[in-house]
Amino acid sequence: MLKTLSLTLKLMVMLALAFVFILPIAWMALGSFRPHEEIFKFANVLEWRTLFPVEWTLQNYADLFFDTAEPFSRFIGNTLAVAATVTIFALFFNSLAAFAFAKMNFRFKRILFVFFISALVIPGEVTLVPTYLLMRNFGWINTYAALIVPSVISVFAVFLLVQFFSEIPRALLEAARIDGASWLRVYQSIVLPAAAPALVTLAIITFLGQWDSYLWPLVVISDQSKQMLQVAIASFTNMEMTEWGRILAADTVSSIPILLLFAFLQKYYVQGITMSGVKG
Amino acid sequence: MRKSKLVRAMTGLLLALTVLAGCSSGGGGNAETGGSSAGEGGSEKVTIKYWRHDNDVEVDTLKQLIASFQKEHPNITVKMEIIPYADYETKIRTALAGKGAPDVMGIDGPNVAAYAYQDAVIPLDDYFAKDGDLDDIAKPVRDSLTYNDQIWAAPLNDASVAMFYNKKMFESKGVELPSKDPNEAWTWEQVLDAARKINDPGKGVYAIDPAWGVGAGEGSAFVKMPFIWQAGGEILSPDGGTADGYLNSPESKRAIEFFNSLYTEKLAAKELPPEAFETGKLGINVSGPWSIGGYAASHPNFKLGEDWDIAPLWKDAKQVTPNGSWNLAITKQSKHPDEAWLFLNWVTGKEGAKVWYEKTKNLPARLSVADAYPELKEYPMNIFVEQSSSFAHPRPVSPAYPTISKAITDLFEEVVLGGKNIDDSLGKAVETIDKAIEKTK
Repeated sequence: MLKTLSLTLKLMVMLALAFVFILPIAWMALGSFRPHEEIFKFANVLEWRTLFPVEWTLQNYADLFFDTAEPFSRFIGNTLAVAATVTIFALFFNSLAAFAFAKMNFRFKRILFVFFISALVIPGEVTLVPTYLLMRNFGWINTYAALIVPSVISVFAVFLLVQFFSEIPRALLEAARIDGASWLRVYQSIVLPAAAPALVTLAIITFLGQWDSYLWPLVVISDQSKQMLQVAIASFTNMEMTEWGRILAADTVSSIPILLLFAFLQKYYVQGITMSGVKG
Repeated sequence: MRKSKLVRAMTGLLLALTVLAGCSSGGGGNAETGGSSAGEGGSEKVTIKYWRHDNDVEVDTLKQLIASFQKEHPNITVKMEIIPYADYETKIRTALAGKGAPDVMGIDGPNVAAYAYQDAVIPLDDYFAKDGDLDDIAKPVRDSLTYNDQIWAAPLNDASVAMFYNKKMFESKGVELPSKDPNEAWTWEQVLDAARKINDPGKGVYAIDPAWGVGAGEGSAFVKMPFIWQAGGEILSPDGGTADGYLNSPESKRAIEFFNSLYTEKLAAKELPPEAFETGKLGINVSGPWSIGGYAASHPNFKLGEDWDIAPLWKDAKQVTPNGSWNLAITKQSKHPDEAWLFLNWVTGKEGAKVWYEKTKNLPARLSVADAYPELKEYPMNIFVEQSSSFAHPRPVSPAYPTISKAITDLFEEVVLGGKNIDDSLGKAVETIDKAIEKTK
């Protein structure tokens, strides 16, 4: 009896919380079907019209996708391509580094690791201009390489993976070594499969980070046809006005991949956060 | 030791990617392509890179002007690149620091002095003397772009703001409508009186948004500074050397007090929903010519003359309105300043300025353009034109302007939102500004 009561109570609290968190997303998604005039018209008093459009329209989506000057599908494509490429490279290189730090023995390992990890405290804004200069000297300004290459190695990713990798029993690796496997073979055949949840977590974090990246593409990309999603959305606000309809439609479209990722892989994501948090 | 297939494949991929990137770059205008500036009429191919912020109508107009320019100068290609307004300065500053600046860049008027002081842009006096018709540019605009006796940018247009009011709201409360004559602006007291009558916060209707809320940003500073000037105060001394004795004068203090009283009386809301004026939740607003076309496009049922009207900006001891808008400047990093000037003059010269006005309907900075169109002498544009020639006050021309602008918006924010003592806040603002000025001496 008491148990059902507490369960009902828990459920109600959870439902209320879910409602609070979903409300702004629902407002955004439903607002994208409103004509511009209506978007803030009912924002004052809470009623059904605050959330649901009175006059439904697809004009915002039409404006978004049929604008030849700022082709939105192009921005989505760019972002997908960059985010996927970065994610693949990041998984590979960061896991190799993490494997070395977690499982191999070499001189100055501890000092190197501490030195490397200490870069976690340097905010991205500090390295903005130096990285820009580097990209310029490589001749990469205004290219996808400037978006991809500097984003591949992530101190946080290495840190996260080192936490996971240290869970794998050393004995297992040593057995493989004795059987004649090279370190890379050990990495490929034993560590990677064992760390699948960690890699999925990292993939989500990296992909989301790229999907949402704003400052870096803003600075290195000037050619609009190469621009990334978030910068494109920001350009719907100018000095004189904000195109709310287009922004809501763009936000809705750009939320879909993220929501999908979350719906299916949320378990790993949460796991990744607790792991790195507790053990860090 | 055998290298794993995966390792080889991935490393190869990354290498290929970097090589590819290396090849595809270098097409930009600023890349070291060699060859010095060819001067006028040179047949050498030159690319001028031009950065500006986003605005659909203005960008379309510029595309048209660039096309006609390239027809006239087949050896010059202009590459316009659009940057989101919100982070325009971030991008420009990173590029300047990283030696990746464009040849021509858009600059908001009051930031011109700072860029000139930092040696980021070049003076245009010689160019203007040759074929720029400098005298045709309205004097307040010219003044706002002059620093150290040199002119550093060419204006695309001017800007001014007026009092926008919800006519139906005034009529339903029986409030007398303000005059449309630019020489008969309402006083602060008249505005206050009308605001008290139309205020209805219970119904979600606020009387007035005196200066675009109390947030940060240049737009916010643009409409707040006039309160100080209207009261008879100033922000800096005439030589620009100090704010002490000016920003903390009794006149300036009175301006802050009046502004704050609108909020303490609950005539103005500390937070308004977006587009409050267009959706009938706000009685009095300030805005500029851009909103006339803007409202017509976004809220076609909210009609000028029926639902709302425009009156000159209010006055106090003096009638003062803000001025200045966006300009074009040539960067010091440009390798082709002569070609860049040809483009600048094409867009902002007498002919270009006419095209600019016809398409964008922005307030002209050139007197010849203001004369060429009868509609500029009629309501509602006559209000802005008359204000900008008779009552305009440039924002302080100082290399410390970015700090000054922030100190002003912070000052209003502290007093209105933070409820801080006005004298203390003024003292703090003066101190911040003077420190910044000291650094640029």
